[in-house]
Amino acid sequence: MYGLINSSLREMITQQFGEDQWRKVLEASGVPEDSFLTMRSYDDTITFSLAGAASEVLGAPVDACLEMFGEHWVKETASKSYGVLMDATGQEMIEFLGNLNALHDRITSTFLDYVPPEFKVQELDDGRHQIDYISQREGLTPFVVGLLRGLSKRFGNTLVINDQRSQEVSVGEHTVFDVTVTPA
Amino acid sequence: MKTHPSAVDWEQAQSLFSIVLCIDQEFRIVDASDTLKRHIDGLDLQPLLTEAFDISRPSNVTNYESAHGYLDSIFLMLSKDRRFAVRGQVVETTIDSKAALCFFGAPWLFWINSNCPDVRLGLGDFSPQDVQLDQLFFMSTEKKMVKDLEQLNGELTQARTELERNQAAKNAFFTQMSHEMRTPLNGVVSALTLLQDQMLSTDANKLVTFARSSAKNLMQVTNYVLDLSKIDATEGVAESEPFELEELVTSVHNIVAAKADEKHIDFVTVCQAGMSAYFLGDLPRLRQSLLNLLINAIKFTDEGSIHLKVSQINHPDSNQEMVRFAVIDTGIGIPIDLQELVFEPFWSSDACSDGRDRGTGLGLDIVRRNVQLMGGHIELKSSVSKGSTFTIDLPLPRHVPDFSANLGHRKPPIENAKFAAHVLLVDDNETNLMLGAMILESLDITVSKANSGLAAVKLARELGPDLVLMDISMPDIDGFEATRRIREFASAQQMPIVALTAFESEAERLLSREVGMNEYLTKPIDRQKLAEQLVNWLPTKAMIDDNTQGANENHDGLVELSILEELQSQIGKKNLETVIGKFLDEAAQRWELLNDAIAAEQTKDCARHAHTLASTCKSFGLTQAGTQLAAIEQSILSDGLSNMEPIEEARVMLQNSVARLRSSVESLT
Repeated sequence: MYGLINSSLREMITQQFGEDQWRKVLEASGVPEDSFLTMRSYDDTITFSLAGAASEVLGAPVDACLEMFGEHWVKETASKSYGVLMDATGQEMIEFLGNLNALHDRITSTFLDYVPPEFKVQELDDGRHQIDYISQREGLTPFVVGLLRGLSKRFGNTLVINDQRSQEVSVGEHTVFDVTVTPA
Repeated sequence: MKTHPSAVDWEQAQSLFSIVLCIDQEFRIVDASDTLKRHIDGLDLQPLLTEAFDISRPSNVTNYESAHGYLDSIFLMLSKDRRFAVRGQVVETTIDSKAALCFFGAPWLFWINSNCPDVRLGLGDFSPQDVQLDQLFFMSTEKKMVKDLEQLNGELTQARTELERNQAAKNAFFTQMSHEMRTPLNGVVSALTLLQDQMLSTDANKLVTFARSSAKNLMQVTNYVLDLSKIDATEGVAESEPFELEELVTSVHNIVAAKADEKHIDFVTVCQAGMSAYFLGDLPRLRQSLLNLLINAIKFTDEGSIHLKVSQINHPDSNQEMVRFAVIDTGIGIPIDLQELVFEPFWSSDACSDGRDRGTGLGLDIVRRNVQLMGGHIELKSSVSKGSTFTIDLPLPRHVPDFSANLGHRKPPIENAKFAAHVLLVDDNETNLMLGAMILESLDITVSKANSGLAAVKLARELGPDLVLMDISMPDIDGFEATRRIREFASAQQMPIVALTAFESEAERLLSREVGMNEYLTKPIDRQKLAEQLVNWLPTKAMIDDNTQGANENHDGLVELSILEELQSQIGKKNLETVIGKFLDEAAQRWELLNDAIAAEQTKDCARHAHTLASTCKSFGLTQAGTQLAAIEQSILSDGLSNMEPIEEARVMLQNSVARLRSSVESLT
């Protein structure tokens, strides 16, 4: 993964738990680097080691840590570093999710080996929507849950995840969310 | 056969370009894309292009015809309300079979972001192939990357600052420790030196010798530990001063031999035959490096031998002449996997668990730093249980000493030097004052004492001593300030001031020069070193004797033996014999040249040869011959070659003087 992800993870732990906790996470992870360069590609194991160590040090399940990270990603990293693009992608949550693939497609011209995930949005009955998350990476569904929560806060919506289930795929993962997004 | 798509329709055009404008021949906007209509009002009213936009590029487009002239150019257009901007290209088309222009483009993203950041643009305002959003993402990412690098740079700067602060604290600690340790040691060494001058019984003398040797060893160990801070403080340029190789090897041998004897190890120094005697280099660093290697060798050798071999080699690449110092021992050796580590600071082998003193772990690090600073190279070859060889290769240029220059300022042999002078000794430590005064008095010097900087200034003014020995660290004003004040009424020539400091520091040495001190010495006061310095500034008894009683001549006055003795004390008898051999050959040749020039009546050449011969004769104590040749030179220059009689007299004088010189050298002890 790109340094952007790892440095965002560091930023989240430092901001929310303090520099000392980050030092402990880093030490527990066995990751030698302390600083990450946004555009440099790092081995995926670094990110997963950091997430695992964060879970151990902060005493929270890995999924909870990834979910927290997803929220932080929307609120801090994406909004602060890519505010104009976030604005262009949508002015409300469903529109944003609908345009997310287009946004990710444009990222591929900067992060050259980046294989973006795919999001599909379908309107269901009763104001519900089905969101399909399809990725070649495994284990990031909790991160997507955090993203959805972060986006709902960004657009001032209330998000209810009615259902979440995994679809069988040969590579990566495919998660289907049934959500209800309502104005707060 | 090639096939081409038919012309794209309006919907397809909007799919490819989010900004599309159709312009008729009157230059009116007859249709506009949805994106454009969303951001600019009134386009449905078919305004002139120039009523809806200011065309900033091309700058001179005002109507259909002028726009038609820029079909291959980029158009940058700002809406009249300055809330929107577009960029694109104009192509020629037809509307209802009439010629028309069509503008295809996109929102000018960077202008809008910069000038109207509140204007909301969506992904839908850009066609998928428009790279402006990609650029925006790239630029945002790059901006973040720059921030990463700035943060990283900040962290590195902070780490460096902390490291430097720690280093400075360490140096300050070492410096303070140096001062604290040297001051009492100064007392011990000086007192023992003076005690040894007393009439002691043989046993007492042995004990004092032993005590003095131990105290000096302790001083050496202290210096050894503190060397690292000195290197850190003086990091920079290696000195390049002339030194004599044999003197270096002998001094190193003398220091180390006793330690080797204690362990019953043979210690042998070997200099390659035919090597130059003098080189230019940083003698203190070189001596320190060899001592560190040799002390290590002794420490890790229990039986067998240690060799210090010095040889001249050529650099394998540049063919530059180098001097090689090899320290070879038959000690415990170093395993191959540890051979890189031994040069690391504070490293000492854990494998060495036999109770052997492993030292500070700084010695080889100091050697490595020294060698690097001197532009050299160090190499280690070692086998466990067989021994180690440390090889230092240094680019040391040969030096040809100018003996005649040394003779300009005649110094008596330092050993047993006596002075006829008055010295003001300044030190805030009473013990140092007492010991210093005793050492100075043992050199026949009259001593006045001052125990503070202020007292020193007062006494210097009142007593006008021949020289001031000035401590640096004192409670009221320090030695630097005292020197500044003394320099207000006495110049460096009128009253030399020699700094006497408890610890050596390059910064302090520089400051001592800045404030007008003539020399810089380190405690403890070593009588011989002190005498060596004082002889530069103070009249000696020997000089006074010379002035009152005339030169120390041999019975016929042809050769001044004192000059030969002095030369011998400087370069040793062997070298003196070699140099005099060269002089005799050269004198014979020069005399031949003088005769040839006389025969050819070349007046200027005659004078030149006489001058050279006179000068070299005086250098080797043939003063009378030299004086006579100098007179000939003057005579030739003023009167030409009219009078040959003095030349014949000079020939006889030179012949006799040379014969006397040969016998005098042989008789020197």
